[in-house]
Amino acid sequence: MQSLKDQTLRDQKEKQTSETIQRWGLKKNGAKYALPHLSKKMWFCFSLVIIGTLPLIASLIYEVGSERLHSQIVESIVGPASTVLSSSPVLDAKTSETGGAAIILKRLQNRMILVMSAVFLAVIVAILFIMRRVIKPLDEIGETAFKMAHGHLDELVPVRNRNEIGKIGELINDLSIDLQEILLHVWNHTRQDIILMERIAAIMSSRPGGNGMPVEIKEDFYFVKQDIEDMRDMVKAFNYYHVRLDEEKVLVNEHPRVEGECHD
Amino acid sequence: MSKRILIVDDSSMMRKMISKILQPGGHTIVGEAKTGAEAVNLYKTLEPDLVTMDITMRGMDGFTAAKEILRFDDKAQIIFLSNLDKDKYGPDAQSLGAVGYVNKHKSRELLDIIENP
Repeated sequence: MQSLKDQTLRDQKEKQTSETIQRWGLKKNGAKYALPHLSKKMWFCFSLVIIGTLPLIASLIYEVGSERLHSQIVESIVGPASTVLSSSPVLDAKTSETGGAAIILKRLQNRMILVMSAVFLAVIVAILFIMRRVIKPLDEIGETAFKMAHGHLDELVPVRNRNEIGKIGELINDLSIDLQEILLHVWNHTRQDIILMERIAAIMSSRPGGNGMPVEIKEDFYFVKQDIEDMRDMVKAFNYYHVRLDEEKVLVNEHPRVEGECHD
Repeated sequence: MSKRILIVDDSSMMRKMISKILQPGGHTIVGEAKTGAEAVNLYKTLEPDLVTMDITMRGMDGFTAAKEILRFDDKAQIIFLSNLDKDKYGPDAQSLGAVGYVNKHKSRELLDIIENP
């Protein structure tokens, strides 16, 4: 009979806790990171730039080496074909000049290919560097902050270096640790308060000649206890770093996460 | 008698709180560490009279840090200050050689332990 009553009480308590969790929107393990990843946006922009500029550059390089440009240059040096005599010393000199121009154009085309390839390579290296040092850490910060906002204080931002982004990550971790301290304080204090209240109630009910607690105080007492229980449910709704709340105690988590270490 | 104290806790808020509790007792806070590894290094450099040590911290935890400190100086005075259940972890702290174990929500007891060890 007693165990059945205990089981009912436990079920009621679990229901109450899960209601609190829902009310606070915490511990949503299935909750997806709602913000679009910066790295995806970055790749999208980079692809757009490539798609937009590569054909232009390629056509410019092709233009430099094309027969059309060559004949236009020849025409501008020698003059239109109809006005030139078939053989003259002037024509011979001009023909050798156009041959020189063609070689220069070919060299220019090769140089353009070389410079453009170097620029393209430099842009790729720069983008990979920015992705690794800025975009990826920012994505990780966003994702971890999202999980923390859903009650996962067991998540920590991985801090890989001590630059500005690393410092932001560290500050977010510090905030989460401070929040954990406050919540565990509330948990321990409220536990002590409940013990005290139960003691007061026991003393009042065991007073000789008394009928326990006066009704008006009993009601207030009930509301205060209920408020404390609500607060404890709220604290229980979080996941904690390295510790877990086991019934009334704070215990070490047996399989703690080891994250947030600085590897620099 | 005033003591030179090293505070070890990963929460900056807690470090401030402990420091506010200890300073009125005339004690000097010689350093603060936020990880176990930092605590061991600071202990070796500062050689404080007493260490208040948190247990759960990022990286090296408080128990491991205390072992390292006691290996360096077997007379080191360490008081554990934690949110963890005292009944369960107090005996572990004692067997390690700590001079006390205080729950954080009763951190005012810290001064009593320091002054009446």
